[in-house]
Amino acid sequence: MTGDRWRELAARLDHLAAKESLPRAICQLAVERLAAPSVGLTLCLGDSFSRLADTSAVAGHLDEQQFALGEGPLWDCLMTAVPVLAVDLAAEDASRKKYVERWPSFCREANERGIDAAFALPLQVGLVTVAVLTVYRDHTGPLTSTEYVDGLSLAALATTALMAERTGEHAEDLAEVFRAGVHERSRLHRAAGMVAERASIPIVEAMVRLRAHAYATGRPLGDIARDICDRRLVLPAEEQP
Amino acid sequence: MSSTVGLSPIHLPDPDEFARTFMTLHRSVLDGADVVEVFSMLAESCVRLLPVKAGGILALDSLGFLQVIGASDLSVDLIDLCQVQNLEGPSLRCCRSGELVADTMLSPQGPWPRFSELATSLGYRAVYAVPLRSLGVVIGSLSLFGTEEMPADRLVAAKALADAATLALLQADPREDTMVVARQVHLAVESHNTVEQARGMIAQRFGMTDDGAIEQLRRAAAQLGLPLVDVARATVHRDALHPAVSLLQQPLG
Repeated sequence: MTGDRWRELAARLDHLAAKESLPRAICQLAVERLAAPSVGLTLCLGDSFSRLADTSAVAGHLDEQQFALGEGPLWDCLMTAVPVLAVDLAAEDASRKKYVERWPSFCREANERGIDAAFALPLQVGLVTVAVLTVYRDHTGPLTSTEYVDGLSLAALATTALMAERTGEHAEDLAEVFRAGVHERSRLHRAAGMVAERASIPIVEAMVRLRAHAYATGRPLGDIARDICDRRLVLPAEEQP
Repeated sequence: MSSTVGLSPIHLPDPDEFARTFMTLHRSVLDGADVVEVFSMLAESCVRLLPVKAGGILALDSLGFLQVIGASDLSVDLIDLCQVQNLEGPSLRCCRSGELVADTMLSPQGPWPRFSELATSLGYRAVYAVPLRSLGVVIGSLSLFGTEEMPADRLVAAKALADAATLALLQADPREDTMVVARQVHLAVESHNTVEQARGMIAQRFGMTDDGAIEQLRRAAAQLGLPLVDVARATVHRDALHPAVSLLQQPLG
């Protein structure tokens, strides 16, 4: 059942990405599935952040403001590496005003633009957050569980797709790439750790190198990871100065 | 042959030890232990209380994949044995049916030949998959591996422990609030991935085996009195201000 959802989401993303940039396609798919016109995608690597795409001026502004202010759901998501679900940014009654208390400046910015709820979903490689997809809604209330699961699935798919774009893999192979790795997920992360340590590079960069090597040599990612863990393979790029 | 075991009255092999385990699990939840810690403790307790050698925890992620989030020990063989069940195995069936699944034959002619072959090659003769359920919603499975068949009453004890840990941990009603469950599982899966990344880094750094590397991380966590995942996260982030990072510049004897 969930495998079908995955394939369906991947196919839709592929379709959208044929017409516009991948980051825009990711945001567009979030708009379709999460019933929100304003969605932003922000890339976070080390200490630098850059807005990759947004579907409205409001989303762009609110994403940017959170870095200027140092507060907001996107910011919290980045710090905690868990989805942050702020269901009521305008609440005045005591039980729900925790968001206003937590992010007073952000909430004011959001309210002025008619945004009453925001959901920040992390794109992750382990606990490292690569990017954050933030969904802004003009009404209060939680995501439905279908919307939430679609959101998490889209975040996982987007992570894979953004890495694939850097390594030159074809988008149509993505669903297969992701599925194939599932029963070797732990080994893949372990191999990425070894590459990161040896080359003194961030873990996300190590993951990209693993995938690039798999793609360039036409071998399954799981085999590459196994060879690295068994010390039968050292990635060529690691030896460059 | 695989079979499904239903609920029967609980006959406890060692009521005192069982009660202590239950209280420890519950207390750790109250003290703020996270999903990975509580479920790892559950797996360790099962190995101590039951005639099994190893246990692993598999959680269903938002895409419906089984993800390892903890184990009685983090040996590479055990993790492989858990993860291969994304393709076939008792845990996959357990998660789909919500019922406890036992296989004490492990035959290449059985319902999961690849899994059986791997399990027998590691010396196991009996495997069990206990559902992790909270109010009727299955969030994953506890895989238990033994060298001998286990009496049914022991299995029921495992099931009771698993239910209690899951319920205490998730607190929220998963029928009402699937987001809390999905979020907890999501965090647990990513935490485990980070532990694996840190393990790869340490294995590379000290030129040791993967199992030696996890022992280093565990020692650092014990010395600092911090959860394993904190040490792993600091290692992966190369967080210069974190005590674990300076501690792990040299192998810990």
